[in-house]
Amino acid sequence: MAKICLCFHVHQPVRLSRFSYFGIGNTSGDSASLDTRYFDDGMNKHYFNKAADQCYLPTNKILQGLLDENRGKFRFSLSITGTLLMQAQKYRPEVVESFRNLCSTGRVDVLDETFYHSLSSLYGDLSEFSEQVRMHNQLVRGLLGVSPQSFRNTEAIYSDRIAQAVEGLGYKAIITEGVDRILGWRSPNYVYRPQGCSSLKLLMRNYKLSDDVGFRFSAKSWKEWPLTADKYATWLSATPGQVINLFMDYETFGEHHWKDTGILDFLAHLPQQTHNHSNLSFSTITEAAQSFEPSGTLSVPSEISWADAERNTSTWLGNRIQRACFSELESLLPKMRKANDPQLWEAYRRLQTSDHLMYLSTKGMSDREVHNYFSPYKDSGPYDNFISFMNIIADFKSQVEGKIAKEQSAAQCEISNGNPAIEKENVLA
Amino acid sequence: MLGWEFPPFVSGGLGTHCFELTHALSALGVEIDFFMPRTNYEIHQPWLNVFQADLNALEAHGLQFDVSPVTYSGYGGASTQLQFNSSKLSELSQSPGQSKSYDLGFFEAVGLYNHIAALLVEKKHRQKPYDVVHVHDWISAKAGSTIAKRTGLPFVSTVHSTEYDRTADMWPFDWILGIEKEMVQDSDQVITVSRRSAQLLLEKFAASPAKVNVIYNAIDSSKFPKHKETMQDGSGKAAKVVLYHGRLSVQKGVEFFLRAAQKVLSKDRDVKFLVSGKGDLLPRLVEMAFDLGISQNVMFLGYVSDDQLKRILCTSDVLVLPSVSEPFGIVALESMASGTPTIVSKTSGVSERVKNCLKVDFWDTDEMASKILSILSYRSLYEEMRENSIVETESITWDDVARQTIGVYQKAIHTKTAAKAAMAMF
Repeated sequence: MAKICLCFHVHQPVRLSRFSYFGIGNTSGDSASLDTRYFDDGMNKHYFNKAADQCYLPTNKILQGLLDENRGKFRFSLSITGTLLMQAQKYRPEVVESFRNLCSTGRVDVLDETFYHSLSSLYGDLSEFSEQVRMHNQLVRGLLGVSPQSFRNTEAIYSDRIAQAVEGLGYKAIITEGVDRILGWRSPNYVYRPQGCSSLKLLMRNYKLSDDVGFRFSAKSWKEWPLTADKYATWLSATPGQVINLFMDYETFGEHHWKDTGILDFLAHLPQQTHNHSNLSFSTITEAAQSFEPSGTLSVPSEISWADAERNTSTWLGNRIQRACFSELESLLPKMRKANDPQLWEAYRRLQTSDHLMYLSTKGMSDREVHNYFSPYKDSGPYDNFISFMNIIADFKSQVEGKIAKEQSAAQCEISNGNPAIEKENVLA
Repeated sequence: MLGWEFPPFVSGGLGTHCFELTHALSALGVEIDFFMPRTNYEIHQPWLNVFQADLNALEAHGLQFDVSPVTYSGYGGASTQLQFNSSKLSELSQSPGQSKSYDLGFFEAVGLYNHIAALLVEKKHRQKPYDVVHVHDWISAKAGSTIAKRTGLPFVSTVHSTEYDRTADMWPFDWILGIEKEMVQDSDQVITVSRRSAQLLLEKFAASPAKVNVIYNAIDSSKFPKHKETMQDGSGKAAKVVLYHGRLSVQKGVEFFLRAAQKVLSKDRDVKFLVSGKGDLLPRLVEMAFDLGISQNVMFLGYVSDDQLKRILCTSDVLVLPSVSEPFGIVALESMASGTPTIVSKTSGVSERVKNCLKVDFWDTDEMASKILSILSYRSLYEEMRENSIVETESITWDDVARQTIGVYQKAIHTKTAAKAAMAMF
C-alpha cells in the first residue's frame, strides 16, 4: 500500500526595479520608502494577477472541489512562500482566502520554509535562517490557520547540516530531491533518516513521476503524450515502495501548461483514477512521515537541490557574479543588527530571495532556456540583471551605513547633552 | 569572387572578411579566383589566386579595352561634391602609380575596374568554367551583374553594408543606392551579415525574402592575445581604460560615446577614454571633448593598425560599440576574443549574434555610462564577462561561415537551374 504525497510549491518573488549606477547613494527624492526604491510594484502586480487568474484561483477551486467530494480520502501538502502570501494580501486578497479555505478542511498540510525563499540556509551563521523560518511559521498560522509540522527548504536545497538545523527547530519531517548520486541503489519511495539526526524523517521527491506532470505533460514529442489521469494512476500503482512524493511547481497547473493542454482536467480526474487502484491512497507529507519508520540513514555532506541537471546550488551560485551578490548580502548581517531598523530588515530579506540570483545564471543553452522562461526581465540577460542587483545592494549598504552613522551621532548627542561632565572632559581633552 | 580589398591591403572589415572566408572555403575544397582592383601590394596566399584587375592584367590575358565600358544609370557629375569614406580607394585613384593605373576620378576608376574585372572573369570562365560568381558590396557589383548576364553563372552577392548604413540614412548618395539595389535585384542569392541588415534590404531595396540569407561574421579567436596589460597614467598610477575603435563618422555614434564618458567621469576621474580610428568627424569630436570638459581624459589615437589594435585591446577594460546603425560590427567580436568586456548598441548586427556582452540603446548615454561604471567597479562582473566572452567567440568560427556560404552557393545554383528549366519550357 503506497501513499501518494502530492506537494505543491507556490511562490512569487518580489521582483526588483532596474537600478542605475547613478542611483547609488542618491537620496534625493523619496528615500523613505525602500519598497518603491528597490521593488517594481507594477511588474509584481502584473505577474501576480496573471498567476492568480491562470493558476491559483482555478486550481484552488478544483482542489477545493476534490477535497469536498472525496471526504477525507484526498489530501495533499502545500509549500507556500511568505513573499507569495504577502503579495496575495496586497494584490488579490481572495487568493489568500481560497488557500485558507483549502486548509480549513483539515486535510491540507502546509510546510514551513524561509519566509523569503532565501538561501539563508547556506550562511555560515544560521540565526538569520532560523528567524526567516520563524517568520514563515507565524505568517502561515496567522493567515491560513494551520500550524506546520514539516519542512522543505528553498528549492529543496538540502544537506546534513540543514537537516540538523531543521530538527533543532522542532520539525518532524523534511522533503528534498531524490537525487540519484545520493540514493545510489536506494529508492526515493521510502522514508529515511538524515545523517546526524535522531527524530527528523526525510522524504525524497520522485523526480521522474513529478516531472512527467511538471515538465513533460504537454510535450507532444514525448512518447507518452497525451498523459491521462488513468494512465498516470496505473504508473503510480505499479511503482514499488511506501511513499511516492510528487512535488511540483503549483504553476504547472495553468501557467507552465496552459488550460487548453488539459492539465486542469488531469488534476480533476487524478483522485478518482488513483482510487481505482486499491494499493494507493493519498497522504500529506506529515502523515506519511508519521506512518513509516526510516528504512536507513542518508548522508548528504554537500548541498543538493531540485534544480537543473546538476541538482546542486549552481543555479544560484554557479558563477562569480552570483557568488559576489550572495556574499555581499551575507556580509551585511552584522551591520543589519547594528542598524536594527524594521524597514531595512524587510528590504534586506526581500533582497535575499533566491530568484534574484537565478536571473544571473550564465549556464549553457539548455539550462538558459529554463531560466529565461522564469525571468521577468525580458530584454536583459544575466549581466544586466547583475548590474541592477549589485547597484541595489550597494545603495542598500549605503542606507544601512547611513542609518548606523545617524544612530551613533544621536547617541553621542544624547550622552553629551545628558552628561555635562563628559562634555567638559572632551573639551579639556 | 570579386572584392575590393584583401590583406595586406585593408581599410575596413571587408578585406579581413574575404581573407578569412576564402581561407575557410578553400579548406572545405572550394577553389577560388579572387579579383580586386590593382594595389601597390603583391598579394599571394596559397589557398586562392588573386588577380588585381587593371589594364596591364587585361593585356596579359590578351584582351583589349573595348570602347563601351560598363555604364551606370544616373551617373552624373556629382562625384566631385562627394566626400567618400573609402579613403584607401580614393587615395588609390589619386596616386600617380604605374603607367596604366586608374589615373581617373574615383567613380571613373570604379567603372573601369568593374569593366576590366568582368572581361577577365569572362575570359577565364571560357578557359575553365566557374560554378558561381560571388561579389562583395557595391564596388564590384556591376562586374558581377555583367558576368552573370553574359555567362549565365549563378550570381551571389554579400551586402556588408549599404549606403543607408554608411551615411546613417542622412543624405545617402542615390547613385550608390542605385547600384546596390540593382545588385540585390540581379543576384540569385544575397547574403547579409545580420537580420537588421536583411530587413533593410527587404524594405529599401524590395528584395525578395526568398533570396536573402543571414550569415553572421566570425572571428579567428586564436589571433587575439588574451592576456591583460595595465595602462599607467602620467603619474604612474594604473588607469582604467575604455576604448572606442572604428571610423569616426556619424553612423558610428562616437558622440554618444563621449557623452557617456563625461557621465562616467562625473563618478570616477581615474578613467581614460581612447578613441581609435580616423574619419571626417575627428575635428568635431576633439572640439566636443573640450566642450564637455573631458579632454584631459580622452585620447585620440588616429589610425590604428590591426596589430596595434590587438595590443590596445589588451590594455582596455571595456570596449564600446555605440553605433547608430551597424550592419555587423566585427570589432565587438575582436574585443570579446581578447577577453575585453564589451558593450554594443542594440542597433548593431553583432548584438543579434552574441550573448556575453551588454547591449544598450546608442542614445541612452546614462545607461551606457552606468554599464561602463559597473564593469569598472564590479570585479566579478569584469571577470565573468571576460571569461565567457573568450569562450563564446571560440565557437564563432569562419568554418561555420564557409559552410553556410556553400549552402547559399548551392541554393543559387539550384535557383538558376530551375529558372533555366522554366525558361526552356517556353
